[in-house]
Amino acid sequence: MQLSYFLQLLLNGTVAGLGYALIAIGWTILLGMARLVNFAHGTMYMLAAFVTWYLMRMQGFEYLPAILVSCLVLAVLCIVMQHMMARQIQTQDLTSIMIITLGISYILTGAAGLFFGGTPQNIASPLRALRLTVGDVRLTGLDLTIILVTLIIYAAVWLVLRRSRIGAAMRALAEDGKLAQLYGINPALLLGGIFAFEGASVALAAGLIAPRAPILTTMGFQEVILTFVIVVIGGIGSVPGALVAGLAIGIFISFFSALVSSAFALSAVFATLLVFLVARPSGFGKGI
Amino acid sequence: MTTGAAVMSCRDVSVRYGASVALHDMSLDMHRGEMIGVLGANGAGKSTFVNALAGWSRGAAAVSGEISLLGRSIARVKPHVRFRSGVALVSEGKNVFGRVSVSDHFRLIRIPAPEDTRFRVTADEIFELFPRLAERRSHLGGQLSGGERQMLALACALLSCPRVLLLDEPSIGLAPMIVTELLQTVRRLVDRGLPVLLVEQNAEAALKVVDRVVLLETGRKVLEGGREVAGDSRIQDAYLGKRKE
Repeated sequence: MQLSYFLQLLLNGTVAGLGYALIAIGWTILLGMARLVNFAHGTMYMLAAFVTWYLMRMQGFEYLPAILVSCLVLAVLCIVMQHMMARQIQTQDLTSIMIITLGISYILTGAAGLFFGGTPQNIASPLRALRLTVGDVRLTGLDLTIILVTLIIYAAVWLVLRRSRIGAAMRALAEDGKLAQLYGINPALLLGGIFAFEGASVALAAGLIAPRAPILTTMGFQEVILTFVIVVIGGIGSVPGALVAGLAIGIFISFFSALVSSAFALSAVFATLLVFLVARPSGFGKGI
Repeated sequence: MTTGAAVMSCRDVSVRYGASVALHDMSLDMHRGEMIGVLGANGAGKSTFVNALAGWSRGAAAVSGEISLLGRSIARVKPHVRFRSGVALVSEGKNVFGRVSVSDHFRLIRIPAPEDTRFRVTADEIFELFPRLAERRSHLGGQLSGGERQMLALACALLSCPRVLLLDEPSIGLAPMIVTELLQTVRRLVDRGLPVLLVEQNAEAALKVVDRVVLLETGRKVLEGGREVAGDSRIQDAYLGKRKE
């Protein structure tokens, strides 16, 4: 294998992997802090991509404002979901939450199909047109943005969790929500913030990653599955773990697709997950 | 020495868990500089009472009756808001976070603006009161001994500048010497004006520091009075082990 080809595969894998990690950050926080799952995560990614596309194509928004509005819309949607599941969240009824979020996922997919149609669409990101070349290795401005934004978001989340009052409050909530009340923490407000972050972060991820390929209202399943794999392999609730897991999966898929078969790349990821779950059930990262 | 009007009052407070009534029509006033000991056997309703004052419960408790702080009703106020209003509860059992460091426990507490009705303790004073915590700032709550955890929970409650302090069984699992030291520390805070409600099964230790005693039996107040009620046969027999022959 030529070095330039190897480096190109490595770079492609890095961009894809950091993209997966960016999609997963919201769920990592939701699972790590609130011990909750959201199987509508992938559909929210799809919805955010279409909101961005709709704002740009139909409403004349520029790329960045469209992403910001999409973040706001998804944050509000997640807060609405939090209120819908308030009783189940309070009792940590994970089975009901799983079923409710799956139901929401199907409703959102149907609604998106009705509203946005079944035709594939493209988000016209101006960053795609920027092309950078180092030797024989190429990347777009969008690729570079995904790398930088993901690293910045992860560093910011890690700093907030480790160094701020809100981070300490989130770790307290993750451990014992009832006791947290005796320290003046409002669990419902904090949970609202976590849900809003999940929505906004998945919308940001969609705004940056979805322009790389045509978008369809049926997409989202692969994203939710990959997110779940990243969260589990990374060590449930581990922020650095999710970053490393996303990166590892992206690079693995890149090399596996190029050297073995792209058709079996996801199967190989799941085989790896199974090996991981047997060998190291807690993942390789430490929880929050 | 007690002064002025009641800081915290409750009238006819009852608590139900489903069909079962755990506390019946409890009424009490707490004043500045006063330490009230709530005594009783297991299941007498002591923790239920103190939790009801803080609006807090691990179960599904239904509380009725009136609870007020400085004359204002707080009966329908959520526990985190009561805490911020100055009702600090150090609960029984797990009262610190095992995966949060000592310094982050302090970071959790939002220190309110100075006010006359609040009992102000600075972080420096906290470390003077509990020097062990200063040495263990970077330790996680789960790495502390039982006594250190009680000190940490108490320190956090004090850092919030409480108007009243509610202590639920602080002596559980602690060596007698540490219990004495802890209760004496609390007594010194009371002497500086902080009203304290102390729920305690260790009646002997409690009676040395409290000003007033309330005795609960099966969810009902059966006795209330000054420290002299320690001579009452119900307390002598059941809690001080001095059964008359």
